[in-house]
Amino acid sequence: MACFFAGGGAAKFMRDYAAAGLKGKIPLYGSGFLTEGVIEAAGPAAEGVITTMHYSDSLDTPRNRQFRLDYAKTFKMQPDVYAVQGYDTGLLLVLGANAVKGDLSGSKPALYKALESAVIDSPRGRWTMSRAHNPVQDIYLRVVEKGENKVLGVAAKALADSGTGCRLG
Amino acid sequence: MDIANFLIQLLNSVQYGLLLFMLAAGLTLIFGIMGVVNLAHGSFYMLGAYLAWWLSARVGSLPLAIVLGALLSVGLGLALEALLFRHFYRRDHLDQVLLTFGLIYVFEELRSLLWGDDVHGVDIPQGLDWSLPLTDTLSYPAYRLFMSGLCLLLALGLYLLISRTRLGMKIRAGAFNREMAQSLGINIRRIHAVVFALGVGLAAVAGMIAAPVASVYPNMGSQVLIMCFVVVVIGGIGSVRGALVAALLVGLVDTFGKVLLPQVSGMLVYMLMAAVLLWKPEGLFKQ
Repeated sequence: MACFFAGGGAAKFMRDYAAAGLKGKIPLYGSGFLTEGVIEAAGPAAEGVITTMHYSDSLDTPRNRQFRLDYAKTFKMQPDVYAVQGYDTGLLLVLGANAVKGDLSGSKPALYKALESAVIDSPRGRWTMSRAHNPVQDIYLRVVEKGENKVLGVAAKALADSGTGCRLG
Repeated sequence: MDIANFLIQLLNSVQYGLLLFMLAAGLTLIFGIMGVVNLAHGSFYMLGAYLAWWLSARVGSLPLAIVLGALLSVGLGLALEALLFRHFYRRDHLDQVLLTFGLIYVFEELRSLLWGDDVHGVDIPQGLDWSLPLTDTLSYPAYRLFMSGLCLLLALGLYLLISRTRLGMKIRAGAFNREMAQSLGINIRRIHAVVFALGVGLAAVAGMIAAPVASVYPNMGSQVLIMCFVVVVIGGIGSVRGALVAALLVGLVDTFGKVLLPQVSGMLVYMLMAAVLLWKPEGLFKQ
């Protein structure tokens, strides 16, 4: 059974799913946001839920480990996908600002060119920009095990969205 | 729809309806007795849920947390009434709407400062953490049955309070004719404070009971507030009996609507409200 929930609804859905007796019987799949930031709130009901997303806390790369350590030291909390996305946004902005030497109000084409050809070394993996200005990134398959999203493997490598209906460039 | 599914949806409807009743009863009392439109009622529901989470983590048991939380909420209700709401009984409804709408924002910020913006869960107490098997795949959580039972008990208690006690008599007198009741020696100020605190307490306890199934998250009050107002309008402003009938009706229409007609399920409750108002503009029951 596949679903999409995030935040309060996600925790509630997983709890209701378990309480209705379906947990062991019909496997639950969802987009990764089903289990981001709400595992503690959902409790044991989240165990065994399989999701796919462009990031996972337990991604075992040096870059991710470094990021998680630095984040925990600075904010005394564990980062999640929302933190990574914010961080990547910062990296992208810095990259763009450096390309136009800080003059963001000036020559826009140079700024856009820099952003379009960006290669971001993110905790989620290295990613580039697609034609529709979305990241071309790996999508990981995860399962919730002992309160953490464990990576099972890569569900889709270097997934680029087709940008249907997008009229950029 | 087979019998097990029907039974599950029926139980869900009743549970949702009774929870809505707890909120709507407080809202309709506050509006019926004091004439105050209280948009912040959803915030009290949220307060109850957050108290349930915060206190149960500290005292280790949800039932004890509910008792403590109920006492805290009633105290807060009394304080709010004395400091703020008391001065708005004679004011225009628009002034009350502005005040209570502002209060929603204030409560949200307070919640953010005190408890943060994360989603939290409250564990179901040990004794109720099982499910009643209905078919070989589906079962119904016992805690939801407990919720319905508790709400029914509280509804009964409210009915007995209003119709069989002296306090209830004074409340009804004050609602009927405030000046006459005052001239007969009834302390209307104290009655208003009690009714307000009771309304806040009911909303908070509803939030506390619902916390294990609804989870605890920012802005949870606004979603339930709209339904609450729909129930009060359908049932008739000031009528607790109307609130009960309307809440069960809304529960049934909403739940079965979502299952049978998912495309229009968002509209169904409002269509029901429109239909009731066309038939009876004052709502189903008089005060």
